[in-house]
Amino acid sequence: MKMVFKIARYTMVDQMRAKSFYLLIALSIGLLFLMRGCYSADYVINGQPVESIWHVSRVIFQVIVMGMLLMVSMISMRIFTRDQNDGSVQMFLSRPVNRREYVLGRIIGTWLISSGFMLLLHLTMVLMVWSHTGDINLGYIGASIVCSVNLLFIVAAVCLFSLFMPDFISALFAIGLLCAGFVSDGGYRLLNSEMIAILIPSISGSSPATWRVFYPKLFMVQAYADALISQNDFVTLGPVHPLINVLAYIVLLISLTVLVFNKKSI
Amino acid sequence: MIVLDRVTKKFGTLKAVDDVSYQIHKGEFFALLGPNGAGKTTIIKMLLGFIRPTSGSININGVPSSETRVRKNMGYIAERHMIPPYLSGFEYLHRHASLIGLSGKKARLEVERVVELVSMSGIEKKKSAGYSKGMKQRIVIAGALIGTPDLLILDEPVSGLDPMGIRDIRNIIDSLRRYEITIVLNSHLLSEVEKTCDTAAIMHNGKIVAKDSIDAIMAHGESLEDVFVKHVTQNTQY
Repeated sequence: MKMVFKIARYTMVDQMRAKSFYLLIALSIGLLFLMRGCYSADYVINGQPVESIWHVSRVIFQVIVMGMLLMVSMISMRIFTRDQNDGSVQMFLSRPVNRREYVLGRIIGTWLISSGFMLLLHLTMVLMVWSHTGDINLGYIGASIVCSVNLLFIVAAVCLFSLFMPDFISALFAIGLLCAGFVSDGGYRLLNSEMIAILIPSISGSSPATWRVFYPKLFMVQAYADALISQNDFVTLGPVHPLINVLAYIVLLISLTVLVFNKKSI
Repeated sequence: MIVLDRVTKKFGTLKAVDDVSYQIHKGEFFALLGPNGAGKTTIIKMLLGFIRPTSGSININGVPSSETRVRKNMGYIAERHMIPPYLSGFEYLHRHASLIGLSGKKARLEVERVVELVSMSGIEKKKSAGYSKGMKQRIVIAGALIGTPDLLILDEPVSGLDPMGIRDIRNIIDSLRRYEITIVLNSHLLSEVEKTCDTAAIMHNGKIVAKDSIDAIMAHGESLEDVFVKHVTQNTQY
């Protein structure tokens, strides 16, 4: 494991060398500041004024996660190709580093740096909410950590796909996987919501198709994170908690990546 | 000692290496020669564990080449002399040191030692993107020498260098003899092989068609180039 963490550290340090990394942080934080007006607007739902700041911050929280999922897929797609082109892979593998350690190091490093980036943006948002309300909701931090599991899923998926497909296509494929899950699980949650149950009673309460139960539950992980923030009850789809579902997929994806990379000619 | 025992490597239906057996002794400076596509780079990659033989075995000091631990005492210079452009020479070398388990002052001193060995002192902290081909090659050689390996694998080390660069690299490689390092050199530059190596094997179509000491190969007053051309033409079926 020592070698894995060493390679993960190199991965993070190399990402942080790029000026574009800091530019991206500055732009993202700037964007969050531009959105601060949304926190103090007056919102009315069904004629009733609502305390807008908590609702808006929950939406912004999810927007940050979505943005990070897109960004991390773009970063991950070039991990192996770039290493092959600039000689990094030869540097590592001509030394006492095995392929499993190399793959794990690269994946973990990319995940940690993107999770750190996301946590920084979420913390910025928490501070902005605090400046408006004077309250700090620690649920955001827990939720950010929960959502980082989704980032790991995307890193692992893109890395695996990039061993078979061109870089950009592998990123698109992983995003497609994510979107299908969002449509499937989002649709299911909507159809089973209180509102739909009142409007169309015949639709609600239907049991989901088997593939939907076992499909990667990325949307449900984010719904769970939202439940941590709002402290509402969390209702999942299927018998398995979404975190366990996604973690199982992550183990599978990383194992496959190691297996395929082991057979790859360097 | 490196022992290749009936090594065969197939890529689909193509036999890149065909039933090759050979031994390279400790401290030997061995050249692997052959035309393009002869299977030299495949053998080098199998020595490094980058690819595995379809059949047969490769052992380095009694340990299979696929095992990670053999690479602790091994240095490798790839055909394309690459250093990640965002790293300085120092950082690149420090990573090599760190990957073989050196840290702190030990790693820094080892980096300083090899930087001096390849005459790059003073410029090792510049980003490698600004290095010339020759400078990059010196740093790559320095990287391979970190930890004073028992075995050094050089895959076309002077490819793309000008005559001055070739001479510099030759001098560096020559200076390594005092460390009793086993060196495996893959090169097309037969004049360089003549000047530097003790033994050689000529490969063609995945097989070794000639192997001996350089002196014995050239015993009849022929140049290495003549011997090389003779063996390759004899074994080519038209």
